[in-house]
Order: sequence, then structure tokens, then C-alpha cells
Amino acid sequence: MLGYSIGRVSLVAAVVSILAIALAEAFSVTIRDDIQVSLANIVLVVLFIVAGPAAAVVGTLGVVPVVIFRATDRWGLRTVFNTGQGAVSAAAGGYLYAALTDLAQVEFPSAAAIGIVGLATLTYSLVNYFLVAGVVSVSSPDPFLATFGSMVPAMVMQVPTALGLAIMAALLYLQSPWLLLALAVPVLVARYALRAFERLDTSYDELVHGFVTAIEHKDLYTRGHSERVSKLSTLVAEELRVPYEQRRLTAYAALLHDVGKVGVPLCIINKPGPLTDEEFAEIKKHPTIGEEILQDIDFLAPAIAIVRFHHERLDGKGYPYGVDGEQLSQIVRIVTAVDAFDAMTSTRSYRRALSVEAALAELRRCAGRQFDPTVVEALASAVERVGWQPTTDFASEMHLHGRQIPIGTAQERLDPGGGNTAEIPS
Amino acid sequence: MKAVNAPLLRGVLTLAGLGLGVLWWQLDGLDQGLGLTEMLIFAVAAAIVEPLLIRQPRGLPISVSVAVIATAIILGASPVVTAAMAGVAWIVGSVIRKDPNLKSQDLLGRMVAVWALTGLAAVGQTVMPYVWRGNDPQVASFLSIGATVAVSVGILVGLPASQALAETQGRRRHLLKRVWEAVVGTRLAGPTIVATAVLGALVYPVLGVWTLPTMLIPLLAARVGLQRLFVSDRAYEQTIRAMSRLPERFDDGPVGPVPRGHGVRVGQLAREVALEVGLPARRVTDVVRAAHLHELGHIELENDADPTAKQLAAAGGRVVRQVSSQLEPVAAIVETHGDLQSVPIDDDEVGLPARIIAACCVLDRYGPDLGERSQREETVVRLVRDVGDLTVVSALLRVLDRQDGAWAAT
Repeated sequence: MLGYSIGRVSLVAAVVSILAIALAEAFSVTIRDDIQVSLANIVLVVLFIVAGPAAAVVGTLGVVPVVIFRATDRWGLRTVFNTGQGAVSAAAGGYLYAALTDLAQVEFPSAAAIGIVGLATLTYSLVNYFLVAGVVSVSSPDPFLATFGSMVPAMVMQVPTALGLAIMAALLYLQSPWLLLALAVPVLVARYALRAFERLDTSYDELVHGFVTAIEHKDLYTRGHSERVSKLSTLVAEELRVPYEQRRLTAYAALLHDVGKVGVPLCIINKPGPLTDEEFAEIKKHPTIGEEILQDIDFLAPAIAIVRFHHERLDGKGYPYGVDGEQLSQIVRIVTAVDAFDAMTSTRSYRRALSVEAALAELRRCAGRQFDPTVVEALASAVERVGWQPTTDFASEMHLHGRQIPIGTAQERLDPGGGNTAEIPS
Repeated sequence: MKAVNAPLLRGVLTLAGLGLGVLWWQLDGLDQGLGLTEMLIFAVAAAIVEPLLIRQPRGLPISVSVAVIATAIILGASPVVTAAMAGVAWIVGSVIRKDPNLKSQDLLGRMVAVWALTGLAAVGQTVMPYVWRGNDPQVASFLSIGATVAVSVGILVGLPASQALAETQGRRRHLLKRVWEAVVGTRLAGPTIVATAVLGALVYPVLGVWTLPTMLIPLLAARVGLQRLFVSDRAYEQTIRAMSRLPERFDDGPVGPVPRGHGVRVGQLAREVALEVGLPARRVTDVVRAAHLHELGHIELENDADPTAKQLAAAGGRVVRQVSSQLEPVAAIVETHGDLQSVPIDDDEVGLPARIIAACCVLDRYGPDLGERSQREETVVRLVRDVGDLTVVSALLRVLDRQDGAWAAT
């Protein structure tokens, strides 16, 4: 039809193509929660060059077993979509390569042919992302253009990388298929390192959580506080579309924000009545001590301000430095608000937990002076979205040591006379 | 036993390297060669990528420029060209990195290493005069097997070995073990660099200067993975070290039971002693971690508690186990360091690391002024009494001797 015929693919070529794509897809690596890198794109471009577009299209069937194995739900739909969009993308790129090289009468690896490979790779990627953006925008409230636009940075990184690797792989293959082993070494090292990173990342997570648990173990009232602040801060950061890496740092810094309290005597932290000036002065040191403990952890450096400033206020009346809102970054403001929210919604030695509604009302009352209004509203949305509940329970009455915990406010603990500037301690 | 004479060792290695490079002319170089323009382009590329280091846990960092220089060597560049390339790249990289620890002898060492590697390539080609040619006549790939193998061995073994020797800091014992560990430590980056250099040499006849950006793509992809692993590993160790501060005093804060910086000092000293007694790298890591965390038992106890060493160590072991199940070997060392009688003297798995930490802890707490002879003798007596292991005590004294010579006069 139209004077052009679709090439045939021998059985051997078809099987090799399918196996190659299946292996490449199976060896994909997760770089972070939302980004997975697959070598299938590179294998497809190599197939355009050395075996022809029909082999590349047939090769996309290699995706089927991998998708079925990995899919956690709707595996049928996912398989059909992934295979279909892969085949359409491969056809677009592959037949463009074949048509242009025929038209220009050039052969790989001439300079013109390499240029055409670049164009074909770009076409393949554009069609691929176009189709993926389409299905994502249909299944989410985000418009198509916004979805496609968010994928452009990944595409900008992926196309040159895939092109360079594919050209090299094709050149090596034409000399001898065994030479591909040389290309496999850095690729396998990259995969091994990323998988090792995933395992180490999990271990690090366990380490930090373990330390915080050990520190909080003695204090019945604040057990779990850092964990909750970390989780809720991450949710609020997602509401505010904070970039992934910053969210990750925020989660860790929030988990460690009260580590400086380890040196504050428990009798002061859990004192049921009002604090004296000397006792409050001791508590006010914990952000500085926490910063000193954590300052040598390089990867936390961009978020160490969270530990340093988590008791500061927009109006400059916080502690220990008394800085104003201009010096408080968005992630600091997030943790400040979340810290106060969790303090209000958990039972302490000096008062019982407030309800979520009462705590949010208190935050809104102090918004603009103590807390960032945007952050407070994002916190309210996050709390509603996940159905956050206050922490009011103890394992048994024995843990309360037979005491009655008043239903007063935290304000009364700090300033029974009404003169203290801290409205909501945590 | 006297320490290694580091300047003498470096001198011997330098002369050997220079001699090896001279062999390149004796053996008429390689069958291939690079033109002047091509060599200049390689030099520029090496300088551009020099600041990009491939860091890996437990391994010495390697610059991406090594792959570029290795490709030039395999393609037939002479020792003068490659050494100059390495030197220029090093200078540019140093300026960009602004590393205050760089010395001129590092530049010389770098140039001599590359000079020697070029000579090694010529030796390889002479010993193994086999040539591989590609199937496709249009591409005309050509590779000297001998030169490629020699360069590969040089990068995989020679480079980490020479770096390890340069960093022995006078430690003579277990030198070969440390060199081997350095070689094993680069088992990821080394083969990647070699594979990249071979790839570059194979595709250079077709792609020409475009080889350089193309061949670096897979290497940089591997670097991304290794960099993430390195950062994560470093974060893990730094966090453990940070946690050593939990039971310590702070200048402007509440009084803690442990002197400020005690955990970090004990960790540094314990690492040196562990290397001195010849513990493998993996165990040295456990020793350092245990040293950082050995006082952690204080956070489980009440502030006004006055525990025995055994009680404190047991509490520390419990806390470490609670933190992470993967720190079990560390927990065992922590709880043993306060109860050394509970393990046999010949127990190297837990007992030896525990005795190392006990000795370093005693020294940091009770050995304030080693310049005073009477205090030195008192400290040695205390160490022998509290630790009961002469191997550990003598290793500790050797480490101190190298560090400040305070013990040399006794």
C-alpha cells in the first residue's frame, strides 16, 4: 500500500528481538520512587539500525512478560497499553529511519545515517511520551499539556543518552556481537550500584528511625512524635509540590528535628506544671544542640535549618535565635507548623490532646504571626486527605502513674500569668 | 619494627615508573598512533572531565579522565603526550575542585603513573603481539590485545595499589593486605573505566573525536549509580558518628556524662589501631562504628545514674540492637568492651575489636598529657591492666608513636 511494504522478520530475528527487549526491561532500575530507567529504549534503537523497523516492532512483545510479572493491578490493561504504545513508538521511529536512509541512500555508520538515527530516536521518544502523557492525563485531573510538559525534562535527558549508547552498541554489534559485553560492563555496574543504593537507602532509613526511637524510648509522652512530624511534613510538602529531593530531605530532617532534646532532663520535658525561666532556658537550647549533633551529616546540610529554626516564628518572636519569616524557608515553615500541630493533637504530661479541628483552628488563629498561612492550609488539606487522627491513647493507666492530666491549654504551662510570647509550644 | 620510609618508597616507585615509560621508545611504541590535533582534543577532553570523580564506598576515588587517557594510550599516544595530558588535566581539576590538600608531589605521581602505564602498553604489545580487527570493512576497528590487557591490568591493579601505598602513612605491617583491599575496593569503578577505554578505542576509527562524548555516556551512567551509593554510604557512617554525640556534653548545653568529642576521637584512634593489628576492612568498619556508639548506653540510663562499665556497655548493646538489626556485630562489640573478661583472649571476632575500643576509650579519658614521662608510664600500666591484651596495647603505642612521636623517647 502507498508503494511501501512492511518488511518481514525471520523467526530467529523475532525471537532474539523479543528476548533482548524482555531482558532490557527486566533489568530496569528504579532511580527514585517515581523514576525508573529501562534499557529497552536503547535496544529498540539498535534494532532499528541493525535489524530493521519490523524487528523492533515485533521486539516490543518482550515487554509483555515483564509487565505481567510486575503489575500489581489491572495487569491486562497495563500489558495491552505498554505493548501497544511501545509498538507504535517503535514503528514511528523505525520506519522514519528506514525511509530517510532509503531516500538519502546512506548506510550506518556514515555521518548522515547517524544524524538520521538521532531524528528517529527523537521521534520514537516523542511518540512514546505523547502516548504515556495521554493515558496519564485521562486517568488524572491534570490536563494533557501540563502532563506532557512535566515529562519533557526526563525526555531531554533520555534522548541523548539513549542515542549515544545505541550508536555505540550498533557499531560494536557490526564488528562483533561479543563486543557488546564491553558495553554491558558499565551498564551492569550502574545497575548493581543503583540496586545497592536502594538497599543501603532502606538500611539508612531503618538506622535513622531506630535512633529516633531509641532517643524517644524513655519519654512516654513524646514517643512517636518525630515519626508523625516526619510523615505529616512529607504529606504537606506533597500538597505544596515541593520537589522530590527536598521532600526526602525534609522527611529526614523532620525525623531528627528534636534530637537535641536528648540532653534536656526528662523531668523538665515532662513537668506537669508551669516551667520556670531556668527550665524554659534549658528547653530553648535543644534546636542548637540538635544542629550541632547533625551538622557533620553532609547530605542533611540543605535541610539543617529545619533543626535550627523549627521553633522560630514569622514575626521573629520565636526561639532560640528570634529570626523572622524572611530567614525561614518553606520546608522550615512546614515542619514548624506540623510540629506544633502534632504537639497539640497528642497527650502530654501537662494536657490532653486537642481534636484535629481544634488544633487546626488554633493554627489558623496564629497564621501570619507564628505560622505561614499557606502552609497551614496545606496542612489542613493533607490532614483531611489522609484522615489524620490525634494521638490520645496510652498502653495503660499505669503509664500515667496515677496522675490526672488536665484538659488545659499549653499556654497555661508556659505562662500562667499571660506574659510569655510563645503561644503554642511543642 | 621501624615504620615504612614513605619518601624512599615513593622515590623507588617513581624511578621504576620512569624506567617503564622509557621502554615505550625502546620497543618502538604501538602500531597505532594519534595525530597532534587528535592528541590536543584528547587533552582538552581529559581536562574537562578531570573534576568528575568516581567515588565508591571503601574504594579510592578515580577521575573519569583516566578513561580518556587510557583510550589515548591504547590508541598509541606516547608517554610524553599522555603524561602532559595527565598533568594538565590534574591542574585544571585541582583549580576547579579547589582542594586545599593537593600537593605538587601528587601531580608528579600522577604524571609518572601515566608515563609508566604508556610504557606498560608497549611492553604488553611486545609480549602479546596479537591484533583484533573488526568484521565490518567500513569500520576498520583495530585493537592491540597486548596493549589493551597491559593497560587494563595497570588500571585495575597498579592504580589502586599505588594510591594505597601513597596513603600508608608509614604503616609497614599488613601492607600487602591494604594494597589488596584497595584493589578490591575499586572492583566496580576499575572495570568500568577499562571497559570505557576499550569501547573508545574500538569506535574511534568511525566516530573520530565524537568518540569522546559518546564513550563517556555509559561511564557517566555508572558514575551516577556509584555516586548515589557513595553518598548513601557516607551518610550512614556520618549519621552513626553524629549519634556518638548524643550522650556527650555540649559547650552551652546541659551537662552530659561523656566528654565532648570523645566518641569521634575514640573512633579515629580505634580505626588506626584496627588497621595496625591487621583487621580486614569490613571489621575495621565495625570497630569504628562500635567506637562511635560505645557510650550510647547513657541514653538508656537516668541522667543521675552511676553505672558500672559492664552495665553501661550492656545498655549500649541493647540500644544499638534496638536501632538496627544490621548493627548486631557492632552491638556485640559495644556490650563486650565493658566486660572483657566474658570473652577468651584469643577471640578475634568480638573480643579483639572490643579490647581495641576499651584501650582507646581509656587512653582518651585518662591519658591527657603523654609528654610527661610519669603520666605515660601510668597510662601504659592502666592500659595493660584494663585491657589485658599486649597486642592491642603495643599496636596503640605504635600508632601514637607515628602520630606525634611522644612515645619515641621511652
